[in-house]
Amino acid sequence: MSFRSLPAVLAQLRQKDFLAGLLFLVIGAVIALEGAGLAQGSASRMGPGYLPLRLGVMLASLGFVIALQGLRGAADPLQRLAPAPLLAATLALVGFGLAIEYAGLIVATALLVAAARLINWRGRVFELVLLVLVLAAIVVAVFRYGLGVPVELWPSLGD
Amino acid sequence: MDLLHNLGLGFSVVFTLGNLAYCFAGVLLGTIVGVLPGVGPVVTIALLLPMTFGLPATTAIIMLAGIYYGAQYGGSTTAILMKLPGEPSSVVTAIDGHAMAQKGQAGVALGIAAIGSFVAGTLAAGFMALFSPALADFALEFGPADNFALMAFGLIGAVVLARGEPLKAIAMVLTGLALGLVGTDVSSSQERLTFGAASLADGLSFVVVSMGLVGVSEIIANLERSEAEQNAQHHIGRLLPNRAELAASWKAILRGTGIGSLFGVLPGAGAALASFTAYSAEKKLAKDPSRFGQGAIEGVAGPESANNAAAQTALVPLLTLGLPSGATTALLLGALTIQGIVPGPQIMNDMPDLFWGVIASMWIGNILLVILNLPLIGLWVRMMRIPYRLLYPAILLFCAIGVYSVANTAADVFLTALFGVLGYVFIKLDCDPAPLLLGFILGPLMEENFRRALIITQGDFHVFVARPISATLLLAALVLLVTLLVPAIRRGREVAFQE
Repeated sequence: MSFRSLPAVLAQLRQKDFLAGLLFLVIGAVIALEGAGLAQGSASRMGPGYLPLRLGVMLASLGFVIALQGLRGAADPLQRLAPAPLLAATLALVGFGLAIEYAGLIVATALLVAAARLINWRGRVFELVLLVLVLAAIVVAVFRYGLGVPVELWPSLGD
Repeated sequence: MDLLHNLGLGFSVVFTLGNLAYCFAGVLLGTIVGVLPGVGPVVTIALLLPMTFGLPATTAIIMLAGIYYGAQYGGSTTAILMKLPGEPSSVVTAIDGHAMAQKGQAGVALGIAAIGSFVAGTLAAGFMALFSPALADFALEFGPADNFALMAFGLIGAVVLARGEPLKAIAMVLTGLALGLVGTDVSSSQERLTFGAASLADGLSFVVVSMGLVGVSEIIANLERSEAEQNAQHHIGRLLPNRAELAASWKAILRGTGIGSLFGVLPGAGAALASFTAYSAEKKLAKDPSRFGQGAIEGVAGPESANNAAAQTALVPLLTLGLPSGATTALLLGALTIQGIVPGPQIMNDMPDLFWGVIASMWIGNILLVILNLPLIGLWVRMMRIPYRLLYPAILLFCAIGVYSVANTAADVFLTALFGVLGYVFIKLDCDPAPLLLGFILGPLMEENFRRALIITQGDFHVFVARPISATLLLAALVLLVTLLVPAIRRGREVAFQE
């Protein structure tokens, strides 16, 4: 990348391989640091940190090489992440996780479906209610009664 | 005869009411979920895994095997009717299969795919019965160093087949290996890479990692695209191929079976490469190659037979060596581990009913697949038209409750969300998640063998090159790795992936 204009250089910083390399570099560095903090031992008596440190260093170095290649490679910029689906899916799962232990399976199901449908909701109340009812019935039948997962169906009142 | 005795044992295991019912349920559920748009076989298996955890080991693995080929067949159905291959192995089926569907021959394409899969499945199960015992006997001699080398070879194989830049695939393998280390170190009982989180002390559940990385991330990526036009073919037509069509395809079915059986056993190769190879073989052998792409029936029969044969022989290295050859078999390995079974050569001696029961269940499963698919095709077509906006909340819900049911802890659901986001970022960065999954599942086994090998030799690394088996495997892995990184061969690989 000899003499490129500033915008071209900036564009190259969004190159997929460059960013992927950076990601691996960071993950590798974190693993290596964690591993370095644990007992190392020797090859014949490995401590808990022996492999994490080495694996982390390998991953970080590989990430560095990938990032370098990305800087020199053809422009292939990362497309914008879609915030709405990302948020909806995360919210749905987190809501389910929070609700399942305190409010029971049915409320958790309703929360998950509602949160998931936030992004293409289109004002269809009836469809949403029906979807929740059908899915709740399936999940209760399959997981609670069929597989015997120990989970409350409704919020436990009183205690 | 030993073989007949063993097969007899296998059939006696399968022909109990319970096992037959679970085999049937597996095939049915696998197909139902597999035909849903946007749900490939890997996701299907991940979604349905938790349903098998409460079953006895043999029954669970019989049901899982049923899910596995049900999902595979479901994927071919969407490939033919909607030109939406759910997985790499049915990409080529989509070419001529969909062309046939557009000519009003959807039924024949589906019929020949079912018949081809049935023949291939039956013959491949026969190969398995013949060759697995010898392979297992050989593998019984493996020491820890050899096992380590074998897994390293398998992981490099996965890199070869991963989409995109090989260096990134290697980095994904390493990331997977590192994720496999999370939890309490067995020999020192000290926590590693848990960042103080109590819920990570027992390590990451593979259900969490696989549901997040392949299930949730796929949903996010699918939602990002605008809802695709549902162009499912409504007109199915007759299902059974006529005499001329059978005459045109029986050789393709047999060739596909041979190619598939061979590729299935190779670590890392798997069903995708098998179906590509079968397709190009048919195209080369055809008198008039220009028919391909326009709805040539051999272009459906060959690859479909090949991917089904490969899907089954891929269980050979899994059950005899403990080596998964791709994302789907990696999930099966994880399921076995949850059942408390360590896959490897000892399975055949210690649990003959499991091994031979699975083989026998393949025949039954393939028969069920034909019986099920031909009459129920109308139902599948209707399921394909379910709009995605109704589907994804259901998939997400099954991910959530499935993950929760493994350990009954909400922390696992939160972790799944985290892996979903990570998986989505990987998709955006063109990083194939399959090598990570393989690394994650093999990580703990590799570490154990690596450590044991070095304890035996008191820290002498020469053991890995001194043992002939280990040395050969590591050399093969090295050769693969070098060829992968040599620029000229790399360009050839890119061309192959584009086809």
